[in-house]
Amino acid sequence: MRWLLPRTLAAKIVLHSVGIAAALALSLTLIGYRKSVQGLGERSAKVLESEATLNASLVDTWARDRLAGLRALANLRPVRRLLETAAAPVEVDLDAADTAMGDAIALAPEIQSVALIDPTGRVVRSTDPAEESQHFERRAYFREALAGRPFISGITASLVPTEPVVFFSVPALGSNGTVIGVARIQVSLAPVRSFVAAARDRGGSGANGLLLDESGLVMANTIDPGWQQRPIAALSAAGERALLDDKRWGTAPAPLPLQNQELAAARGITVATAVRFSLGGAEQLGAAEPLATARWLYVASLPRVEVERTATDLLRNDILAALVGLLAAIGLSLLFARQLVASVMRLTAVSALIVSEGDLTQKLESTSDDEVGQLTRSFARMVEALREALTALKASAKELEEAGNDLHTTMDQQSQLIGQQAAALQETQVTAQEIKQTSKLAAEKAQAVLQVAERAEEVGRAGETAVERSLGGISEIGRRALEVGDQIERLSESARQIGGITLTVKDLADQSNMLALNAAIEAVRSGEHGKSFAVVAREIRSLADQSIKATGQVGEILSQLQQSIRAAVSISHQSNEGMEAGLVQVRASGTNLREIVGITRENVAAARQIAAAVSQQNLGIGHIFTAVTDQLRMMETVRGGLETTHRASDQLRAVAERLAGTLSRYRL
Amino acid sequence: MHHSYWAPLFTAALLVSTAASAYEETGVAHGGTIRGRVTFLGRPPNPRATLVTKDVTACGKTHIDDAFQVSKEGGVQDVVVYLLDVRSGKKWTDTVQPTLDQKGCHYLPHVQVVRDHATLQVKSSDPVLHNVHAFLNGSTVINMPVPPATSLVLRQKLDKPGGMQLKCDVHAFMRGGIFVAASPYYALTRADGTYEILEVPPGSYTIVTWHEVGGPINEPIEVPAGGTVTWNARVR
Repeated sequence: MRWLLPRTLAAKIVLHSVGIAAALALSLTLIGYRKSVQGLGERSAKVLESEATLNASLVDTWARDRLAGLRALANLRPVRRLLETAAAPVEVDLDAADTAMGDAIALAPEIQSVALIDPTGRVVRSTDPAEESQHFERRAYFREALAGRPFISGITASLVPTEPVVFFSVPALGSNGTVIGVARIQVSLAPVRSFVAAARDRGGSGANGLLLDESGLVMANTIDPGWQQRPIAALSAAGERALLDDKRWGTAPAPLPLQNQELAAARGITVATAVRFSLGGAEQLGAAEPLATARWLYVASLPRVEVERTATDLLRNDILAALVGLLAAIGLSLLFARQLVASVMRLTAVSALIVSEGDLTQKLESTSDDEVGQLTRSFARMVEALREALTALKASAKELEEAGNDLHTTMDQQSQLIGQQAAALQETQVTAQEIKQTSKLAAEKAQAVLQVAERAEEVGRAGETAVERSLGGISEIGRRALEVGDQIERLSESARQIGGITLTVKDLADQSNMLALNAAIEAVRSGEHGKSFAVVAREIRSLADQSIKATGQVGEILSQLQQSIRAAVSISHQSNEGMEAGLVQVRASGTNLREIVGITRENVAAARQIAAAVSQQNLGIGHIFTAVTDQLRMMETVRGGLETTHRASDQLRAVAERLAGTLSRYRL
Repeated sequence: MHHSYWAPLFTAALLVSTAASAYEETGVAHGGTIRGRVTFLGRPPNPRATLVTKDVTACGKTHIDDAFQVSKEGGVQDVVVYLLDVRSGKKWTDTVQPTLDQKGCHYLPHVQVVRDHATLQVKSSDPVLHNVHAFLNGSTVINMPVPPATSLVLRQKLDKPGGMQLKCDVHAFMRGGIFVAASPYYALTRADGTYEILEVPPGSYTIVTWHEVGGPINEPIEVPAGGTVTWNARVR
């Protein structure tokens, strides 16, 4: 059974649409047929009823008008006077009656003659002179009117013209209210027959009209011209005789009855009634309507088969319409399915292409507003977004790769720089070691200077004592003391210079300290900042050089000081010999000597300060050495970090390559 | 300025009116026929005799009123049945020189139809004076004394279409009629009241009766191509 079910979307749509259309068409056709059969039945009944009412009232109105005209004539004075003096009419009354009868006949073209009849049945005056002096005492219209009743006859044969007629008669009343005669008109049935003839096919195909008079004789009908004047059913013997007496068929014998018992049964009804009868075996639906003025009966009929045929026609039309609708449904659903499926198939093909070949350059367009159109546009937007995202990713991968490469190069350069930095630091360490040793040396020398100065102080004190003791040679001593004074002056100068150098050394030590601190900070920030670190290292080295030079100068100056002091000592020795010669002068010189001792004491203090400075410097250089050693250790850490970064950049490069490889699968 | 402007219009109007009034003999294809019978409405009057008091030798002692000549079956003679306003069609078949005679104090013929613009020849066969007086809708058209000279023929051109009553100013009982026809589409009823109008171009018309004393009847009628239509009338 599964092979019966459609596989493609188009076939499904067509199957569903056609199924729905077929179900709708079938149900609507059935409902429509049932409703229309019912409605047609009701409508036919209504049509027949209104047909019957229409023609009955037309004939009725016509008869009433004829009767009214006749009443007016019978009521005219000359007419009544003529009837009252019928035995010996006056010429004037005859002329006036003629005019009045002319007026009455002029009322309608179908009025053939007007007659005034006296109570014996003799025609007193007629528009047809041939009638005059005839006797109509046996005719129904005369007898009924004479009895005081207006009368309308049934269909009656007319001798001249041959067309059948009806008679209308009314009594003419005398001044005392008695019937003095009868006014009568003979009227052609032509208008009545034209009313009835108009009913043919009016209410539907095969529609007929039939007018029966009070005796059941056919007055007018659209069924068969041969029915004219024939009784609808067999008459009783008495009835037939009465009609023959009334010359209803003229001089001819009674015609054969039609033997339509169903229609005959409808006679005597007082209200509109539905009837059924058969005509030549075909069943007829009819409506019978009794007339108000005349005792006639009008029947409108429609063949039952016609009513049903209309329903059958309707069913055939319904089926035809349903078939057309079904075909249209098939056509429309095919068209619709083709459109819909075309869009869906395009969508499917494109998505398959994207999946299999990664081709994102496929264009998808749809102008349709339906869901498939929206889906197509959404899918196109999605593909576009994907394409943009992948394009962006591709660009990013490229940038990543370039960045990885750059990083790699930079790492290489940096590790190279770090190597150079380490080497420079190594050198700095060696230099610092040298500075340290030199500084130590300078400190020892300064200690020696201090000892010398202290000794000079002692010597000065001894000289003072000697001056005290050798007053004799004081003048000589005074002179020599002047020379000593010069020497001491120079010594003092040198000592001052030492003081300056010592200050310089102190400054240098301070700066070195600062630089070392900077270098330490810079070393923490690795990368490019390594370069700055190299500069700092170089500065430290040049400062160290200056420190060495300054220290050298200190050494030279100190040796000069030694010589000067030594010369001063020897001069002092020579002055001892001339002491006795100039005791007074010695005393004066003793004062000067004391000043020298004071100066020397100051020198000692200066040398002590130098020694302290050099010792301080030595301490600073020690700190520098420690800092440089720390930097070297940190440099190792930086190198380790660089190694890690190097590995990371390699990984980055690998990831970028893999990404590019993945993206190359898509055509963008 | 103004008359140069109006003159052509005026001429055109004149031409149109002339064209409208003139009947054209164009011939008829698939012409229809109108036939029927004119009967008397009501009881036909008994012929009345009038006593003659003047010119008894020429006119007789009594004069029978012959205005309505009704047959036994009711047919009325001498009723003109015609179609109104027919502009073109069949050829005229009337006599070129219509004549009105007066004999025994009767007009002969009693009623006749002449074509428009025809010249009527009036004469008298009586040895007495007559005065022909014709009225068209109450207006005098002819007022002509006719002396008792049998060889004398008077002429009168008739230019106004329509039915005229004839009277004699000398003998008041004399009656007659002349119908001036604008087109050949007319008929004069025979003794039994029947008539026929032939070669009528198919179409819609107004059919009219004229009788010297009877009231006119005026009704629309449809004439089919090549067919016959029956039109009956009742006059009084």
